[in-house]
Amino acid sequence: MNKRRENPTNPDFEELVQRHYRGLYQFAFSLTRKEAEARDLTQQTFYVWATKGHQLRDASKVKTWLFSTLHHEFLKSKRRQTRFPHVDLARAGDDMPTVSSTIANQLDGSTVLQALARVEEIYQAPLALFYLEDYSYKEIAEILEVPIGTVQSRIARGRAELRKVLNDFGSDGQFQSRRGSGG
Amino acid sequence: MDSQQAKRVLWLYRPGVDDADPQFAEALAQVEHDPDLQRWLDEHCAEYTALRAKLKDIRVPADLPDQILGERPVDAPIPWWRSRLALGTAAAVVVVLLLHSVLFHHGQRGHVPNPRATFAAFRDDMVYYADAGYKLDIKSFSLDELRQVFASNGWPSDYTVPPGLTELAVRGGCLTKWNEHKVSMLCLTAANDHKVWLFVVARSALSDAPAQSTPKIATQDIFCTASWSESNKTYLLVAEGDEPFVRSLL
Repeated sequence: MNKRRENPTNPDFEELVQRHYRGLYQFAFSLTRKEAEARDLTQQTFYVWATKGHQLRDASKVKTWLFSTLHHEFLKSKRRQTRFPHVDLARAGDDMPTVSSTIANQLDGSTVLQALARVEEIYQAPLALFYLEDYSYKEIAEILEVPIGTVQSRIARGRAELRKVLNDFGSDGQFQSRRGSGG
Repeated sequence: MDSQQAKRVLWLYRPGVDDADPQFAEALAQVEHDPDLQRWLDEHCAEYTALRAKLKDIRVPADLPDQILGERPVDAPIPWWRSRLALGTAAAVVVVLLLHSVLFHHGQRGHVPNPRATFAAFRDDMVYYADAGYKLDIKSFSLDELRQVFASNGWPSDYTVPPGLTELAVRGGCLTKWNEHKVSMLCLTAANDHKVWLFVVARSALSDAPAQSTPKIATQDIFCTASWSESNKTYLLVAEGDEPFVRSLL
């Protein structure tokens, strides 16, 4: 029998949205760098919660469950995009920032996001959670469904790559051509 | 632990987040006796804090909560319709919710129809559809009523429901399309709370529809599927569960 509406440990849907949409959207945006996709991912995450959230037995895991679901949905959408490539013509050639500062403190959020986009893909989600949320490494491991040692090593390497990318941010406000682990 | 070792450990340290994490305790203690390490840590923390602030500054659309709440999926299973009182009278209640608009929106929820007309693509897309969330076009707990709604809308309705499914609680159904072919989707819930879906499509919609009437079992992510063809219809059963559970439904 369905227990979704009878389970007192499950928070009210609206309350859940109000509590978590910001963090989920920011995580989604850090992965996609596109508002429309971040919106879709956030909304999809709550859709999945509405249809499957009742299967979660531990109410203390709701937030972790939501972030894990969003990441799962992101990976699924990427797989789908690989099968059905989508070219956003309006943004073609628009992935280079044009700010002039090279100091981390003076970079704007979009430049940091551009830098994050330039580190190896496997490091991006761990890094986003590392910076955005107050999750322990154990919780990040649960969200990404990888061992905690893997999470820590990805974050360590990802940080090193991110620093390289930010250091490469030239005085002309352009990233150098080096990508990924180059260095 | 020397200074280099401490730096390697503290490379993952986040001020205000990892203060209580024991893996950093020894390295943090080392900082108190090592001014160079202290300076390094201060820089490390400042960089972390600056980058965190930049990312936390990501603007969140103000209308996002309203959008999420406004497009919340309709939940078919509502306790009242399982009550004895309701069982006597509510059998006739069938609600077709904004059929045309829902049908239109099915294709817009980030789900790109697969142009390949193979059964594997059909199964992939239907599993994704079931997993990704959907709005029930029909809310009913009667298989007969579902069939009537499918028939009245011109969707596949002359299907045979596997005997095991008649024992499950019906939640409703969807009238969806795949590669322009009409697909009837029946949504049910088993006693163990596992969701079950039955998709019915014209056999001719698939270039390699299952030839056998004996169900073929396969697993896909957390789902188990059974597929078969009978007369001019192809069936795909998708369930949250394992093979024995699916076999119990057939």
